[in-house]
Amino acid sequence: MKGQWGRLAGYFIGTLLISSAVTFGLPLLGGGSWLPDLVSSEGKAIDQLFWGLLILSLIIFAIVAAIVIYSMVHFRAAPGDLSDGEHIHGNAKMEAAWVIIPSLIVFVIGLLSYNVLRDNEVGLYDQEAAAHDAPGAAQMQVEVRGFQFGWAFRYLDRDGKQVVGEKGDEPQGELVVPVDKVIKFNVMSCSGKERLGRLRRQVDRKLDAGDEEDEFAKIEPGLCERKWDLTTEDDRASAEDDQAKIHAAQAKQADGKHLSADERKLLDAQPRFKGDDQFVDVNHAFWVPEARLKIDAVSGLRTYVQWQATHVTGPQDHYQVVCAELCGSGHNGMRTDMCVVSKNTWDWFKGLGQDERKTATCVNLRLLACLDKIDDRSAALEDIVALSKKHPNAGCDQAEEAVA
Amino acid sequence: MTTETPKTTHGGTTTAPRGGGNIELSPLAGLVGIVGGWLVASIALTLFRIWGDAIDWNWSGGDWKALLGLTGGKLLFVSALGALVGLLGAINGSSVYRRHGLVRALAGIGVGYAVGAAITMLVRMAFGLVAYSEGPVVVFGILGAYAFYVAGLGGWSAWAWYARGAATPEHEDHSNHGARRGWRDFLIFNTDHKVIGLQYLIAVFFFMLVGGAMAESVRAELANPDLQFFSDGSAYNKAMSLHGVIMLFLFIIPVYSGIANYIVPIMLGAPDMAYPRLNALSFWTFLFGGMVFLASIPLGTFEAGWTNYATLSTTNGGSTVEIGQLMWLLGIQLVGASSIMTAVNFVVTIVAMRAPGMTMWRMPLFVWGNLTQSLLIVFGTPFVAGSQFMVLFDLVMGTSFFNAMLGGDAISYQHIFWFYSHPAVYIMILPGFGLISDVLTTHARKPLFGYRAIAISTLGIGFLGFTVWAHHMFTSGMADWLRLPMMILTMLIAVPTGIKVLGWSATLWKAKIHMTVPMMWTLGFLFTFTCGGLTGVMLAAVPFDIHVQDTYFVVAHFHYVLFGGSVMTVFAGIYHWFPKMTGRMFDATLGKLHFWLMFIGMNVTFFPMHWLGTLGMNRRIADYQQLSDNYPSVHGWNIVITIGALMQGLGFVVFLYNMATSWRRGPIAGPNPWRSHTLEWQVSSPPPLFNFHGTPVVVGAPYDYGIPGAKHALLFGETGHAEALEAATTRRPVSASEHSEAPTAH
Repeated sequence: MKGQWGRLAGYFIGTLLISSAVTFGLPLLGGGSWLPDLVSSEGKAIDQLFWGLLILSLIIFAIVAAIVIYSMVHFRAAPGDLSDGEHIHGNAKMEAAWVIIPSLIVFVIGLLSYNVLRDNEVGLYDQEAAAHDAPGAAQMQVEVRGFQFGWAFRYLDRDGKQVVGEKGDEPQGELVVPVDKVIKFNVMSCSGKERLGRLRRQVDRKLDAGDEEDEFAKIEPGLCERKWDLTTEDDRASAEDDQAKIHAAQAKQADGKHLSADERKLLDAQPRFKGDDQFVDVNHAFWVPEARLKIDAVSGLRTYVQWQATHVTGPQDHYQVVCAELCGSGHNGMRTDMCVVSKNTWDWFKGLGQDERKTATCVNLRLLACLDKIDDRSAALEDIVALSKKHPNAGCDQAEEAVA
Repeated sequence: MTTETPKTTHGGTTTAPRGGGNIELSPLAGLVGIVGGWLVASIALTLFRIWGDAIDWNWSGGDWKALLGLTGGKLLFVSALGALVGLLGAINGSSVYRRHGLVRALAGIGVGYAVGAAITMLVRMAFGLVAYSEGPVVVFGILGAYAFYVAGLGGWSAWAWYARGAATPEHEDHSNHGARRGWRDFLIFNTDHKVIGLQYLIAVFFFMLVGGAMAESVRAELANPDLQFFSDGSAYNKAMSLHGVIMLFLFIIPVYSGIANYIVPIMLGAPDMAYPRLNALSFWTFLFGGMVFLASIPLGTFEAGWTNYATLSTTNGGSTVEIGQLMWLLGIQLVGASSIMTAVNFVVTIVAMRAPGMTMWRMPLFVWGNLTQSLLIVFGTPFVAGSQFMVLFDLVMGTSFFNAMLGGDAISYQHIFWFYSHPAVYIMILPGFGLISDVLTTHARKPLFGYRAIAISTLGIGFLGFTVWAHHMFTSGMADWLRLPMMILTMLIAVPTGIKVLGWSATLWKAKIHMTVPMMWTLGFLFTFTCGGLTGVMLAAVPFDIHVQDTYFVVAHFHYVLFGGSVMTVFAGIYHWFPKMTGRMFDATLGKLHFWLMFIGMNVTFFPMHWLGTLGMNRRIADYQQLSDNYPSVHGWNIVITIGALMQGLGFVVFLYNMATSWRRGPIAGPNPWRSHTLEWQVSSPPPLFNFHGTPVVVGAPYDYGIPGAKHALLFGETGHAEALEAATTRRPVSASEHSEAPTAH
């Protein structure tokens, strides 16, 4: 009997070793780790949770597998053996044990997960101004808009004032964030394409004899601030009324004035209002795998996620913003570059004009990160743009050479 | 209605065909039917196309071509349909069976569609609208087609006669019951649960073949970065959506209806299901729903995935909503209705039709699993029906359930959808859990370890299943606090599931394991399902889920539970009960080859997906060029995955070959080749028309292996049957304490 348990322990260790070797060897064969690079400070705890869960899973798997394999080897019926196994129909103590122990384990996992979540979301769902000053709370905001099939970004300070470019500028198509700042991403899905479906139906019913072709042409993807298009005069009037209130609140916010609770509510609920000027798109999901965090971009709803970039991205760090939610035929291509820049570069970037910003793409900003000590970034950027056009995969050496 | 109604006794074995002489199908008639049907359909379609081009009809022919790489694919499809109709016409023309014909049903589809569409267009014209509008016409056309199709099958007739007070000959002569005339009885509105079980199984394995072909095409595309197999992302999305919908709604859920239809009534000692006609209606409704899904392929199918999330499904971002989207919405209603009909039938059968002595604690676990599954279906399926009706209304009627611009809420779709679709994953596995318990005990010759704990844990999973739907929505932007209770409850499901897995493992201890084909699937299931269950706990942890939600990690997880879980149990069950259903034994060597191809193939396919997911490969993408530029090994592993998928496909072909040849030529199996104790093995293989020649009586636990001479049930005529029946049906004497609590007024 004793020997049996010893052998079973041997099976357990053997199974654990084999399954661990497969689990950890697999990515090694591919020349990497289970997880991509880490660029957010929030991701560290998430990664630890992953490793903990993975190891726990391997142990539990090995327990079950060891019992099954052991039985397969030692309790095989000999050929022609028609007798039955032992009549064991249960064991109350064992059954109680495998109710209580897993319950405790999952409770602990739940608690640990909750802690990670709480630490990663300081102030995220808290609209009170006091939450702004909590340690770990957001220091700046990025308005993220997903549309079929791309992304648009605008940069705001903590209180919602635009910090990059002028009002009315086109939004950025790539995500540029400063290092070491907790950034709250306000995510939404909108593009103006929703109206195509409505138009199609209107044409179908002959309620509206609008010229379909022209309407299609007018719609610019990625621009959410557009006039609404509603069917009845009543709808239009109530929408205009709502809109006026929202605009007043927005103007107040832009001027940095303190907003009343009602106004803040209005802004948060803004897209839910009938006739809001935010058009409806399909769902997307805003995900930077290297940051480990993701949130859906939903039509008509603001969603939030926040993280802090831990290091500046160099030429080798090809991080991207990925759409993770099926959004139609172009879903696979709905990726755009993201890069993290140093504080100095960020200050310079903020002051750029709209046209200059178009050349300050992530490919170039990553190369610029090699030369963080230089003063005249605008001049260096010209050299780097020329370089990256010739060599899309250029490294730091070439960047330094080109600028020198 | 002049029919010869032969006098047959209830449950009698005399076979007297009704109507016409006994003319067999001649090969010539079949050939003429095929060629004729093909020609007529081809010519009609060609004319229709010429006419269609002339009026600029919006044919979306590109998709079909893209899916199968065929030119003139639509021509081929319709021609093949015509050939099928022709063949069936030839069968029907020569068949002894004239009243309920498949041909009439197929004609009913055309007539019904025309009637439904015509009424809609007339009503539209009466109100001054343009007569043709795709949405309403297609919807009412398909509903009309369904009604006339069932009428053509004769599905309404018994009810209609009964309602009119007319004679219902089928009630008396059982002419619609049983497979007495061979395969032709599988083509009619048959009310025998054994026939319906096999009808289901044949249909679902056909659907699995189609769904598998879609999976292989998806893997062909993903073997290399960039687009090469599909013309564009849209075509890929269609194949991917079809794969999901077919595998879930046309394979995994109905395959258990098939197995359970055959097995559960016999396990209970019942002559049939409680509502045989409803049972038949549910199968033919399912088949029609499945045909609606498949017919959407040449018409430009749906592409919003099996989850059909609003607002992708309601607007597709404003581009034209394909007719295929409407067909998905109607197909799901029909398949769902069929699912509810079957479930109601099972609940009533299990509650009301158990043999004397079959207490709840003596029911085999497959029955327990089926009871819980049926309850989940009855409670849950109306929610998915509701969510898809709302999508249909948004699309066709211009309501705004999910359109935020008009005050709708896109996230509410996900809540309603998952309120069904999370319990649905237990609908897809609980019968499998039960089935595994039956197969395991039989082939390990040992009682189930902790029978009651495993039975109760089934109910526990069923209950908890309704409390965790939002764990699919951790990143959806729903109320943030909701994530915590959903996380804890999701993790708690690991406890009843753990009771099962550990109970099965402990059952193997000191057993006498016979390494038969069903046992290999069962043992394989223990490994793969455990793996899938553990990644399920990982995914329940919100912070980790936020990273891997919508990635290949999730794809790996649910294929480990659905393929490594459900499908493995399905194959275990099919091999276990194949001798019972066909009376013949399968080829064990081919069965083992099938197992190894599938088991190795599935691990090769799905295990590396975990890693691709954590690395950053999002799901439902046609192309991963940009990811593999950063991580070149992603390409290599995708090739490996495609090879694994091909292995599985090969295994499936071996399976089909084995089933087809063994059914025809396999050695006679005898009533109880596995020496099992449960009731279905105590009768002949296949069982007689009404399963038992007299009511059996249950006298003991289902899995009392290891006790010499232990019996689960006694058949009519067996020694001790009369006494046991007397004991089981007589009320036990009321004890004194119960007397005192009894009301005294009456």
